Amino acid sequence: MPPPLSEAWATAYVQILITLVVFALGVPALAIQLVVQDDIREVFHRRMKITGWIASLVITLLAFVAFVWVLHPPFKKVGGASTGRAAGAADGVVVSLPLSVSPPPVTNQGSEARGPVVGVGTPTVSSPNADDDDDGQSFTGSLIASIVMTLIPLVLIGLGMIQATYLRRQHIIKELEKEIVGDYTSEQTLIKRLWHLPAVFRDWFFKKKRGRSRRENRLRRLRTTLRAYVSVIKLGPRRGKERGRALTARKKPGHIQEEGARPLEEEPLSDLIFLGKNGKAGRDKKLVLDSLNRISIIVQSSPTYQGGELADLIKGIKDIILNTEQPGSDEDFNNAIVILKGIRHRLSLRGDVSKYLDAGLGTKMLEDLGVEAVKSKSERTAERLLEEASSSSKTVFRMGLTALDSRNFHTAVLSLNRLESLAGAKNLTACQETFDLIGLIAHFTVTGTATRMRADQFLSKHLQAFIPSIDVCLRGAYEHHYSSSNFDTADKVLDLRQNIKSERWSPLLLTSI
Amino acid sequence: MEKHNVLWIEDGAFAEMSQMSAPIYVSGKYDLVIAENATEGLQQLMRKDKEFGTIIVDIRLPPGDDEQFLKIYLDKNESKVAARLGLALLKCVLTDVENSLIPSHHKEAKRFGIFTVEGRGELADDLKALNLEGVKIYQKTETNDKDTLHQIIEDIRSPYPGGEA
Repeated sequence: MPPPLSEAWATAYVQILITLVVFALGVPALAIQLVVQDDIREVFHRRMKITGWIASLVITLLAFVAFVWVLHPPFKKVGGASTGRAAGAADGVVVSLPLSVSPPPVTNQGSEARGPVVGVGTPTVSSPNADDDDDGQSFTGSLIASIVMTLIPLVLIGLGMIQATYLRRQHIIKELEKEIVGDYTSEQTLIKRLWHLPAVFRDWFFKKKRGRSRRENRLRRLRTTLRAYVSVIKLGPRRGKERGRALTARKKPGHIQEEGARPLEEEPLSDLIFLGKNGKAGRDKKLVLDSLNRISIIVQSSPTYQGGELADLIKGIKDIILNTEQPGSDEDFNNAIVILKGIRHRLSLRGDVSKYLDAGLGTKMLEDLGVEAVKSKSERTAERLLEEASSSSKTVFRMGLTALDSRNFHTAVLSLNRLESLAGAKNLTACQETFDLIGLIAHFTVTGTATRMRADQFLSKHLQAFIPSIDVCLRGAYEHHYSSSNFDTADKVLDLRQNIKSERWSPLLLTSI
Repeated sequence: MEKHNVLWIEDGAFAEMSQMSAPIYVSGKYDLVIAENATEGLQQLMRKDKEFGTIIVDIRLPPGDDEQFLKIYLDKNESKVAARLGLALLKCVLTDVENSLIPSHHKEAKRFGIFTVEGRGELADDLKALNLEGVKIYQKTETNDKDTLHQIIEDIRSPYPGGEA
């Protein structure tokens, strides 16, 4: 039975409730704020669902309410009073006063004392015989209340620990990886699509910053699945020999079934890449890169993989490594090389690599990483990337030029060597490879005596080998670099032309010519 | 204008041994390609668009992605020393005559040289078992300098059998 409401009680109740709610919400929030990193928190908030954590919070609040309304000892006593017991019984002690009545003694006629005589005995004080049951109930209530109030902080501490475990970086990354792989490898049934439908509305109403494309993507995929089911109903299921295969519609004669490459689930992938971008160089980024590597291996080993599904993942690797706020370390660059090379290698096992989008994109990313590595990373990392990106003369030229500017001569001469090979493979004809080679040679010529000697060593030997002539190639190189707005290089090509015309070779080289 | 193509299969080529490649680049006579593990080495040797005139192999190589190399490596408790994947690579390329994935010019033992920590004595039995006694062996020592690789390449290219570097 609810307690009688009074103003004092209502005020106290509201105060207690507010304190407890603030306590219940505040302790875990403070713990998360102090322990969990910003990027993890952001991903957690973005992906937060009704989880065990929320359920535990609700249970805790219910326990508070129960404590205040049901288990509190005073309520029990108020309830007991209403049973009609004497108020004095509740006061603690009983005073007994024995009385005796005797007939009046016969003395004389005129006496006034005619009534019975009441004798008063010695008063005794005794404990009340108030109901033991009620006392027992009161004690049980207090015990339960105490247990509840002891358990609540323990539950909160446990909750904090569970949450701290859940919000560890590796756990979140693992969860995201599981979601991406699970989504890619599992059959996209109608039920699964409908299961994801609430996410469409959630994005719609609460996650506007996530952009329209994601909502549209979700809806498009839902539409595709629905259309597939309608097709099955309309055309009848196709019977195949393979067991356990998804139900597909028969094709109408002349009908082209819409089956494209199924991209990776965008939302968890972008969250994973976000964690990689904002993670610290080294361990944090390695966790994400390792995860991306595992995903790429699983996706590429899937029979449905068509060679273009990893585009977002590949671009994400570049974002992770080249984030200006948290740039990758040498180790991160090397991990990225391993992933990109692995993707390319697995595609090469399928045959012609050049027809696959992922292979081309992987090469492009290696080139971009290479240019950056020359600027800011160790010689070793830069040269590993140069080795991988050596099929593009444009990239080798950029890397060589950057290396020369940063006085990294080992990498610069490696670039020049590689460009000589690339141009040589084209027989030094007037093509981009030759123009890039001439451009780098022009820079070598003006950087210093030793670099000029290395450049002249090549030119003096191969001056007659250029097709149709060195002069045509020099003009072509000038125009090529001018049109690419490499004005500095274009100017140096012009200077080189003057040197060649006047046969001004490196003085140290004269003896060997 | 053709340069002499050289393949160097060595996991330390970009690290502690990177200075050995400098004279090669400066000379301008060679196109040096580096493979850092057995899988990459095999991939390079499978290339049909590039013919390597000289191939230098280390014996203690990491496996890379290839399942066969990986299996050998794991069986040997992930020890490069025990796995000797350089020998496995040589066996795969030079003794498997019917392997059509590798161009025939890369199956010529005279193009190969072994540049490793192990001495000739330690490898003799293995090479004999593989019938690869013709492959030249050069030992890595503390006295190797930056010109060693250049000398090895020149030695392998020379028509006369050379001794140890």
